[in-house]
Amino acid sequence: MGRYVLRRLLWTPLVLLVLVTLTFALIKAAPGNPFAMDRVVSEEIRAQLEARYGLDKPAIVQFGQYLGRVVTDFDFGPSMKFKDRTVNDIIANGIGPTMLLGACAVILAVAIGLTAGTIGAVRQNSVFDHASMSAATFGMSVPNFVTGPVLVLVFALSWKALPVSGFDPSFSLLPALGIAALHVAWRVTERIRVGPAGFSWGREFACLWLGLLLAAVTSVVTLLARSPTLILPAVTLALPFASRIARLMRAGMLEVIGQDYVRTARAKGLSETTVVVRHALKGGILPVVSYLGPAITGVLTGSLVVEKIFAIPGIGREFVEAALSRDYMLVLGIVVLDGLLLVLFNLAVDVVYGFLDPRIRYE
Amino acid sequence: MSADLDPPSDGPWAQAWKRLRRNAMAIAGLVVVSVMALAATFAGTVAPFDPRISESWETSLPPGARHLDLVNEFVVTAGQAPRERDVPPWLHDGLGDGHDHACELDVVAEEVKQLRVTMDGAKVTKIQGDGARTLAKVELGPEDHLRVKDAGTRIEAKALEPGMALPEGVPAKTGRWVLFAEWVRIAPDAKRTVRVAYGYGTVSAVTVAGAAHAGEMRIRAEHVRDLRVDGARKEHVHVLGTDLNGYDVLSRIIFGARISLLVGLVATLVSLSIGVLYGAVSGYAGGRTDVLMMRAVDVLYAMPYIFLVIVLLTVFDRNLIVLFVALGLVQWLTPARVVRGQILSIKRREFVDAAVTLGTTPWRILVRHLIPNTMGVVVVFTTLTIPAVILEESFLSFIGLTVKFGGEPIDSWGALVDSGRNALGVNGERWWMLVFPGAAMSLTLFSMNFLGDGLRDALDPRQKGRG
Amino acid sequence: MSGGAAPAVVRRKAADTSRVVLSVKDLKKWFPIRKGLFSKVVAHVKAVDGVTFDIHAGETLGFVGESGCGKTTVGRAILRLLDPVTGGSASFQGQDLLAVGGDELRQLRRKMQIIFQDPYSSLNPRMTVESIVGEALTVHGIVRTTKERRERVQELLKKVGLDPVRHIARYPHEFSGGQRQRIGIARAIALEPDLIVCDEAVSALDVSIQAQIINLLQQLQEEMGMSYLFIAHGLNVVEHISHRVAVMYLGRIVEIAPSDRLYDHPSHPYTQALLSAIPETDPDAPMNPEQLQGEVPNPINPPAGCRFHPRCRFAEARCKAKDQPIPVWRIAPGHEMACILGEKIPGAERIGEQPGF
Ligand SMILES: Nc1ncnc2c1ncn2[C@@H]1O[C@H](COP(=O)(O)OP(=O)(O)O)[C@@H](O)[C@H]1O
Ligand SMILES: [Mg+2]
Repeated sequence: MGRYVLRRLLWTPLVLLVLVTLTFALIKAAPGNPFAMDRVVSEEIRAQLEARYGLDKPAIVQFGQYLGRVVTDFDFGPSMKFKDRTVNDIIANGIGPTMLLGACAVILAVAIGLTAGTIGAVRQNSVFDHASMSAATFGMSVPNFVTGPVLVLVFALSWKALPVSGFDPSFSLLPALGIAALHVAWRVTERIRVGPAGFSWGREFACLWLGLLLAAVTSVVTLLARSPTLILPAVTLALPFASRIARLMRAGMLEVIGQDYVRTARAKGLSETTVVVRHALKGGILPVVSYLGPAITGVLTGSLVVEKIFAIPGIGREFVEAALSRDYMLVLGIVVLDGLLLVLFNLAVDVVYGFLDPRIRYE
Repeated sequence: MSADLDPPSDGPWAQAWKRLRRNAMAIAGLVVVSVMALAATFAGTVAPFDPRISESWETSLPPGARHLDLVNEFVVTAGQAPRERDVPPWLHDGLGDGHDHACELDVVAEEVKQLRVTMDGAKVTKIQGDGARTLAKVELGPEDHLRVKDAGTRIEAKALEPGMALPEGVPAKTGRWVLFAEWVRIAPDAKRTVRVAYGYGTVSAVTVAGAAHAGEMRIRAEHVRDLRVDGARKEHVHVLGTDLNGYDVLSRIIFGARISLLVGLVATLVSLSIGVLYGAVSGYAGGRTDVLMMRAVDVLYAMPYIFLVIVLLTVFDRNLIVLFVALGLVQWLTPARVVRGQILSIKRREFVDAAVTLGTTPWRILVRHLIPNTMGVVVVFTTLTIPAVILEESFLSFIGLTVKFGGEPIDSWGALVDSGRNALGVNGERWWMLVFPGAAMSLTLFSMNFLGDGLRDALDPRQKGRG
Repeated sequence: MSGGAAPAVVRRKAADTSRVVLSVKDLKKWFPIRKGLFSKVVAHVKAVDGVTFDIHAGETLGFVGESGCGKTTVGRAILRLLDPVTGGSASFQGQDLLAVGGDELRQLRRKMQIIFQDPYSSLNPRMTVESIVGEALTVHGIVRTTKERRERVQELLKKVGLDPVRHIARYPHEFSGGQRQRIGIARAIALEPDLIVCDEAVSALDVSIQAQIINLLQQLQEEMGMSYLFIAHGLNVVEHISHRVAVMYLGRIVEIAPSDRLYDHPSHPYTQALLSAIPETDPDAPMNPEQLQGEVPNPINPPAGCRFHPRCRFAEARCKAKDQPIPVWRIAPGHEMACILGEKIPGAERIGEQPGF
């Protein structure tokens, strides 16, 4: 296990380095010299840029200097559009809303997906199963830039039940609540003897489950009570992932349920709940965990759209605006930061997966 | 050979087709996708309207709104041949056929009054209406207009009264002089039927029901409520309404499909070609080459791709080539991995050894023996990559990174959804501009995904039901 | 011969023993077993571990042994499908078979072909019969035009008993197993090779079809004069086609003899056991006491001493001794066998030895 994590850790800087190099090279390859020539660069900013990155020096030196500053000081340089703001300022302002939105969406997606998938598998071919699977297939196909505006149309414009857009900065309790919920769940499950012999991670699993439910309930309640502005964006962002997770969960569980040892367990007279908790859930949760990596990538990508639709001042919107106005320094900074986030999340997911599924540790 | 026991079987494609036919959803998807593709290919014939032509008075019409086939404003004069530029198509239809036609228009409008405005320098001094009656003030509603005969211009003004400054657009003159103007008054309830009889190239009579005579008729299309030629209604229907600029939504969707599908198809072909070749070479080469090539794929796999694509489109001109490259670059990784896996197992099959023994070159083995046997996967990937690419292109259009297609103002679906979203209005009253493009897009993606899943199950039954 | 499968129609033609086509000396092929992060080699599968034999012009050499004993590996090594080999040498018509490369190798490949066991995996499902059979002709520039190629392919199809008109444009899945094997044969003879390795070419077929295919192969040998290395896992299959038969056990040849001699006077206990495994035609025949017991040992770690000793009826204590060479005996002209107890056979003359473990 240690070696596995180590290998994954060594992988991370390599991926990041390739990402920064690629992005930097792309910008350098732009017709003209993007750092110096663009109209939007004021004299002041140009002077700043030149001083920091020695724009008269060869590209490789500039790259080295950029990389050096990013690594040692976490300094992404000045924005090329706003003369009084640095990329760091902009990112610092935007990261909160983006993370908040992302966290809400992931929690919602996992909670809805796991619940729907589990019910679908346990009550296979029931009305609920068919309805939820059709909904999931549909949810996977409808792009979020359609879902978002349609939700706005229905809930905000026609029905006027929810606000159209905007962001309430006073609201930032959710991640804390999520963590608290997980903690509570961990303590509660201490007393539960879920795992029979041979089922080693029963507690982790029960904890995950309970924690997610708690987090979902608290987040929905808080969303409704404190910050209704986030409801539509979070739902929009969560929908495709909830659908995918529901399908994965259901398929994984059904596969396990169909296997011989589960049938034997049933034949031995174990209750349906026991069969599900002891065996089937495990089959469903592994594909879901391995899907979390791509899902988080998808949530970050989706935030570009959702923040635009709902006018949320996050880094997704900043990125789109920076791209449209060719603020290359800001673009570069956000790509690097998002790359870092993604790689770290994926690392975390892989480690959790390795922890749950002993097979891959020895791959 | 008669004793030969194992009978010949169906080919792999025939078997796959049999399995696919049993999957109702996949077949439904196939039908939808085919219809979409056909409509997109023959968009010029299928679309009811030209998506590049809009009528200014046809903006924001709800679904089902009728469209009278008129030009903005036209003049019909008895005894004259209508000038082509001035008249609506329906008036031309029967021109040369040697028969008399009659057309009737219900015109809601048109009290044309003559005004004599006397002016001194830049000031209005006196206004006279019909029969030289002096008017204290002429009020103009939002739809009303003044047409100044001398200046040949149309004046936008709120009111006209003695003592006021000249409305904008009227050239000031020194000394007293008289301006002749037509005051076109719109009276909403004054519905009249105008009959235009024509044939043999000329208009023979223009009559207005209930009016004595109208030798010449100036008709503004926005006031025409109904139109019949020889008793038959002449109209088109905007089935899905029109947008803020008066473009027909359905036609825009059909032409948008052309762009979305084309981008999807080409970018998919680009990426699959790269992916298949890369994966095949890697798998066939094996050993260190394989390890190295696959590690490179792993690194690229971990990239936040859409961000790189956005950078690419920011840095370079947003033309089709850059778009294809950008989208193609994203999608080749998964096919490369999967094809490599396939090649690893195919290259162990004996026909490959047979080819080696025959002295076939490695390249030929790759192209003739290995790659054709990955076609099942390639087909599945094609059907699953096309929607992914369409989604990405629309995503890019939606966030504003639209690509111009040969300078024509034809938008892909993503841009349509974005403009629909912006057009909703405070109460969502213009919902159709968002909902229909969104639905078209979702339906297509939905169908393609179903078809792709169905094909995967059909071509590789062992994989059934994953994810 | 059992099951009515006796292909007694075509008489075996005598081989030209003066001309050696293929000569293999001490051929070894070990497959490394790798483990761990850095793919360290931890052991070897000694699939072929010192095999020596000759094949004469127009001769069929039968190669027999239980599955896993290394027959396929020998055949593939000769065809240069398993580069590089671990040791030994091989010469084909005087040329050093294992050393040539590049264009020379391509030219050499024209003279050696293979027919596979599995008629399903040995034909490319995405190619028509015409391109399968004609590929070699194109690759070696033997035909210039498609018309020429079609004519040549039609001739070949006629030769192997397929319909040259109806079958030429079809795909492999439209044929039965026997027909597919005929397509494989047509492909192999397209270049008019001097040697064809038939790797269990009939093992996957129904018994009656086996006979047809063997007849076809014999007939083609008469017409074209090539040699066969005819691999099978049972002695019954090779009896009628082979001039000589070699019996393999765990990577080595334990006995080699002219066909008639081997069937009449099997001298190695393993050969005897294999012969007794051929089902009797007479149902009243007593159960054979020489039937083989146990499993084939693991070739990664073969038994010390004589490799056959754990399953041998005659095994003595000295057969198990480590690191002793295994003596090779000549029993009759052309009849050789390797056995530690060989001196017990009357008339056996020690002519050499195989290295021990
Ligand atoms: N490519 C390979 N890698 C590792 N082991 C192999 C390979 N090919 C064959 N072997 C092993 O070598 C031994 C001999 O195999 P083979 O020559 O196919 O036997 P036969 O054809 O007599 O059945 C078997 O134990 C087999 O598992
Ligand atoms: Mg074999």
